[in-house]
Amino acid sequence: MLNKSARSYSIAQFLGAGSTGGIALGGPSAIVRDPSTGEFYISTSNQGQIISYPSGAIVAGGNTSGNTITQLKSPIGLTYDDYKKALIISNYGGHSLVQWLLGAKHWTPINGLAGITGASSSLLDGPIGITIDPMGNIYCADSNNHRVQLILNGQSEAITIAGVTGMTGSNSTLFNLPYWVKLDNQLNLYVADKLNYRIQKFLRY
Amino acid sequence: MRRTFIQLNTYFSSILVFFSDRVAFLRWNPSGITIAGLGSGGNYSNHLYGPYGFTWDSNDTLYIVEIDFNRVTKWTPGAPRGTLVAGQANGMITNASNGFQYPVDIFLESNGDMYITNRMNSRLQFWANGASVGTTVAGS
Repeated sequence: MLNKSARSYSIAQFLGAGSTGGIALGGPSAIVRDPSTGEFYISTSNQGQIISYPSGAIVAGGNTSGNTITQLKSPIGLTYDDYKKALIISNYGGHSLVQWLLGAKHWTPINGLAGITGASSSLLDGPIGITIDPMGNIYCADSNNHRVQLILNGQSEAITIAGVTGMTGSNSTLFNLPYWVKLDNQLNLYVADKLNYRIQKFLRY
Repeated sequence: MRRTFIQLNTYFSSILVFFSDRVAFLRWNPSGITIAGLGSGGNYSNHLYGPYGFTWDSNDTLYIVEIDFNRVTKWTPGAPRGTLVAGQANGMITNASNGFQYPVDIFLESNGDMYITNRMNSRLQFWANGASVGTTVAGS
């Protein structure tokens, strides 16, 4: 279901030939694919929205940048829950993780409090990378707290599964600005550790 | 109906998630293994500058976007250095088709073609497998 700002594009534009000015991307960041439709969803951190490509529809946010229930704030991290048909969005500037169902007009909270920074099981500071496992559990790189948070499906509190809250370092158990997080098929955890210039792998027991 | 039981064992930093039809044990070794990048030192041929979005192909080769070096490199398992797949090896910033300014994330097709988001150029670049330039498919 597309919102009213969906637009249609010529085949030439679809294929990238000629002008590509039809879709404006302000600070495009994460890109994920909807496995059911093949559409890409792209977070645009400058615009407070998630845009669908190639349709050009705004599928989340798009109500200027902010922390209210219809807004996103510097969304960078993004993943897609195909079971719920929902975008899972990490608001870097809003310090919150939210769920936005396709076709919905607002988000529902996952973790963090929009507009509030902190370093607890319910507060975040600069969350960036976000991913989801097949059981619907959500993993987030809470960058300024130098940790990876796990929010079990249906829970509101997070558990720190990598890094130490508030502590930076370059050894095997610490991060210095964890930026991105992913899982492989065995649910081993991978983290882009920005200021340590490395990708770290954490084996699942 | 499926029942769930969650036990948080903070002493062992372990989490047991119990479903009536199966047991899923979610616990990770808190010591990470570095699988790409040197951590410190090195030069532009074997260093990772600002690793951001990353993904794998079917051979477990890791494709990593380096936001601070405006390129995408790929690292085969155990490799001491990456191979350039998009952008410029020397990290040059550009608005042209042969590079990026602050790339963030990558989507990798099964044939090795790539879609790369370009934060500062406000564009989505399509970069074919083995190509030396990209094509802007969205944005400016």
